Amino acid sequence: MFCLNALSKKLRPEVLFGQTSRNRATLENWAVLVDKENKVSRWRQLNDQVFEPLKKGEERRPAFVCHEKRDIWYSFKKLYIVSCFVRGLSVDDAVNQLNFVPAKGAKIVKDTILEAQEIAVRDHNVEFKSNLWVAESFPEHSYRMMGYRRHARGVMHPIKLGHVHYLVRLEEGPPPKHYYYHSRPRTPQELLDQWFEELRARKISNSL
Amino acid sequence: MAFRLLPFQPVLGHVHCSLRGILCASSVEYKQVREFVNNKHRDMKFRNLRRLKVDTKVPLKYMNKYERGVKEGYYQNIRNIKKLWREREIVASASNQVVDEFVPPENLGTAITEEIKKKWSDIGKFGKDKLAIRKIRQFEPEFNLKVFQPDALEIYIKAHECLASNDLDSLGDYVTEHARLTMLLNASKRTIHWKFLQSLESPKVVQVRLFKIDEAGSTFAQLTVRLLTQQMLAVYDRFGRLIYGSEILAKDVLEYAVFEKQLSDEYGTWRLHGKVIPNDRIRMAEHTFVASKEQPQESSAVMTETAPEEDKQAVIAK
Repeated sequence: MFCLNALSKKLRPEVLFGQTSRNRATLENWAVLVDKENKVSRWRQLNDQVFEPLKKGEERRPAFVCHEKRDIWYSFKKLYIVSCFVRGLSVDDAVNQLNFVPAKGAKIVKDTILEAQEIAVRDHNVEFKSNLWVAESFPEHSYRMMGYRRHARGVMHPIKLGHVHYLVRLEEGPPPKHYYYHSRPRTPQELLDQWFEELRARKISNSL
Repeated sequence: MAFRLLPFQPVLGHVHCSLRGILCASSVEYKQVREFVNNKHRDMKFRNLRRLKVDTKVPLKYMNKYERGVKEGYYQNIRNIKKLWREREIVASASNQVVDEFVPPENLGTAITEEIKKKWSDIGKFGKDKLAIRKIRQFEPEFNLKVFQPDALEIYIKAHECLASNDLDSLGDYVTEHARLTMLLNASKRTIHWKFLQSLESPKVVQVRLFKIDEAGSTFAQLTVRLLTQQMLAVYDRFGRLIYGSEILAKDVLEYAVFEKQLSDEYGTWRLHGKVIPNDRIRMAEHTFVASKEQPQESSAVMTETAPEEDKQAVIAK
């Protein structure tokens, strides 16, 4: 038995090719993410769904494109500020505004929007390329690498090199006046109801 | 982040602080450009040296699978080379062309003159068509044009039904590989509603051709068939918006469809290979689009206007 075990250890592919089993598991997982020909990210898979034909009297469905840029070495918080800045603007407006933002994230956002604009005209039956607006734009966390900073006397200090994805969705048509739900214009009836609710919800101290 | 308004600075990159004033004085245009000023690096000379302290190597964990395999010598082994270069067989089950394309008569309507009738009735009696049919009978002795003509219409209908229902597995039984590419080119992510209503005239074979691809002797036969049918077509976008046609309207369609068969193959079948479309009847684009620079459009209004203006200015200057 001992001999057999020793033989099997030598003949194992990990030993032959210099790979441990733990390494291989991580490699395969990573290959799934990297291999773009076979695997498309979940965000870009939204471009593949086909809707049913419109019925009579139904509203025209606006076209949309989802696009992204993956694995950028940039901080999440800095990109979040720029991505919020663009929301609810038309494409031409957004590109003009981003030219005056002195940040690395502005270039990332601008390039993805312009790429998405091209794809919309090419593949998704959008007639006029300036008739698009930024419906969604947000960053997402990617992997994090560890770098090292050298100090005096051989001291090494680890640095986290965070990577990030940027995701954007363009939609056909003119942009809405109020992008966020909380900034929508309210009717007098709604304001009245809101005021009554506030009154009823209040607490009178030292009461029953 | 601190922002400060600075005059226009023509030199890109990081410049020594003392040079800034000189450059600003020399530059003629004073544009207000917003620039980021970092307070950390007072002396830019040491910026690069500070960066060298930081080590940002890509760890092995994040390398590509094949990249790492080649680096560690995994793919030098002969057994594993097949994973990189995969060899596949080539089977010439269909040709890549329409040989000796049929030129349809100029009469685009449905009316057939007596001259054309004579030509079609005499098919198989003179010239290339006769030779081709004789050679086809060497492979299939029971071949008959009159029997084939109704079969061709069935193949035509089934091929289009497969395309409309997105049944790509059974599309290969009715369509060659050459036609499959052209059919599926613009069909992806679109819904097609297609209905065959009736055939107004019985289909007729117009031309018969026979040719070889290679010297080994794989022979192909191509028949062009005239089809006059009534169809309904409606094509929808990915978002369900109508692009072309309508559900209500029935149209009379005149087509010259090409059918192909590999005769040297025992199990070869007649399949739809292509359509003969004259250049006059190609549909123009319905949407606006940006023309490419290689194909400039005809003389535009701007080009004609600029020339006289220059002349006027020249006259005034004199």
